[in-house]
Amino acid sequence: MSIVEQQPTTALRSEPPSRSDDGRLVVRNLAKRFRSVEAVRDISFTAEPGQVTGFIGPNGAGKTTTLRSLLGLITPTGGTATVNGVPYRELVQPTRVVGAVLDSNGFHRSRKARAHLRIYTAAMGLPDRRADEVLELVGLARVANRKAGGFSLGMRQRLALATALLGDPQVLILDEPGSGLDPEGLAWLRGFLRRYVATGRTVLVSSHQLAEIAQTVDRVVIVSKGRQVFEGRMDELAGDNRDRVRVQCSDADRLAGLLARNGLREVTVLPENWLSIVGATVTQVGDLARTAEVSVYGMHREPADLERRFLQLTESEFLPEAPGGPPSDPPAQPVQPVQPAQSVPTTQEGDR
Amino acid sequence: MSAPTLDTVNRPAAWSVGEIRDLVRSEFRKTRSTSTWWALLIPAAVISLLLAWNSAKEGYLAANLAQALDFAILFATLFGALYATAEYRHNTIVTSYLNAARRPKLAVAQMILAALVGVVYGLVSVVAGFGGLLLSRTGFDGDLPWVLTVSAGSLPLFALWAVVGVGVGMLLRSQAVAVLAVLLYTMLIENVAVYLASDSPVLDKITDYLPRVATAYALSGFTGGEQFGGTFGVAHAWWLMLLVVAGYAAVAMLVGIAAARRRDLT
Repeated sequence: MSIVEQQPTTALRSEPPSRSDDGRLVVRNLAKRFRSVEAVRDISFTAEPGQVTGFIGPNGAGKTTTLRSLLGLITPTGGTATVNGVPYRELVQPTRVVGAVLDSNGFHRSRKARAHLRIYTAAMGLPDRRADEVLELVGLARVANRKAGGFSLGMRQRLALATALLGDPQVLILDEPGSGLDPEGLAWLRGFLRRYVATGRTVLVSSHQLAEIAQTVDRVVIVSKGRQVFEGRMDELAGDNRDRVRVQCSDADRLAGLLARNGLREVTVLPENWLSIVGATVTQVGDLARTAEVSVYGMHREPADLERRFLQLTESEFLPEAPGGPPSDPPAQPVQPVQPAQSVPTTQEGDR
Repeated sequence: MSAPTLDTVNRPAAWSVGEIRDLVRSEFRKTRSTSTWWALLIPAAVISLLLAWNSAKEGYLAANLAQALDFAILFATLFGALYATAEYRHNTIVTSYLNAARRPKLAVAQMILAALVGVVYGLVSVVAGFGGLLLSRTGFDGDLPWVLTVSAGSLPLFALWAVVGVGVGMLLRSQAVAVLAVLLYTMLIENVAVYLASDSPVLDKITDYLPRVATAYALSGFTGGEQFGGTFGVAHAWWLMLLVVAGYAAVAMLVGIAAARRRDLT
């Protein structure tokens, strides 16, 4: 199942949908209690058009309950969840406004992919060719006449996405779309979501892994144990936990002094002539070391540890020991593949 | 946060004929793309044929056909139940409700589709029943008018019983439980109730209005006074009994809709 081939994007309208409403999702003080179990409590966030909003939390944190409340599948016991200012159930032709990818098992096993989609083109009053368009869009055109029961998990995820896209919706809501996708498929999905919001639409995507969507999202909402613990931009999530440069040199104090004179004041002097500099780049530090005439023995960039921040916020039981002190074995500093530096341009682009 | 102009765009969706037509078309495709409809139609036809053939050796043709159809109707109910529960079994109910966010709309579309399939079950069973009658007799003799009346009169009963199946399915959701409930009721529970009530003249009158008994009375009425099964006569007008069955179909749908309306899909 190769999907890296050029995806035709023609089936996606290039200009924003010509509707007078904005495609904003608003959740206010949402609460849901299932008999004695309180699934979510006091969840409040907004997903804006033109942005990918990540909805992150450990399994069982209440992500699915919140998303399904937004989609009118679950009746909240408190608060509101609205699309374009109204509850989902009151939308006229809801699937033309919101597309949802909720689970990868929503197919009759003996139904062919195209037949599955044509059930919903009929229900939505769309022409049947729309089924083939979305199959093409998600890279399933060649298996259009195969039964969904024989699909791999990745293919079923794509078919679920194709179903969501039928109505060319203004808003896309995805619940754990990454599970079951191979790295190639995940990369494709990230690109797809970025292109989707680039046309002024709204994407709300949930995940239990920050790393999986950190590169894709503009804003994050983090939930844990049914409560919301964070809402904001990705760089706000990092907080004071920004990128650092660590350098070991022949004269740490001298280099620190020069760094301070060059505006880099957040410098920590560590044993064995190690320095930790917040908000610097390796080129900056390297050049200044040369000016200060100190020898550099080792230097590396330390990305802000978003994963750690996430685990702190969600009060994970698996929080690793804080890497506060100097690295005893300097270059072996483990770096999570979060790569927040790459997410920064995306964020700025999204914030405008 | 909310733009006031949006309220006019997003008025709560009213019921429109076009929308229900689209949903029925969607339900038609759901049905056609799976095997349930013909897998249950075959036994319905076979049973009609065999029962009509076997009983046509004695008695009146119209009554024999009525008895065969009375049994075949069970398959229309089973179809309705399996059709409605398939949505839950295969998890497609979520996609269906995302589209028909006003859930009763989907229920109405499914009711219409089931009624149409019920009529198809009726037509096929009638044709098979004719075949059975002709296998044992060379002609209809003077019975033809009543045979035709029973045939035509059975069609709304097939439709109504398929709708009952949908209501039961919407309520119970599990395929196995729904099928079991339909079979237990028609084959056992109602018969036991009728048997127990037969000693009391008052209760005996009341059991005439039980769904399966009423169906038999309606069919019996279409035979023009011929009896079948030994117990049923024309004690009640066929139209009254048809209305009673329609009442049960309506109650089944209302109960199914009430259960599905605000049910959380987690």
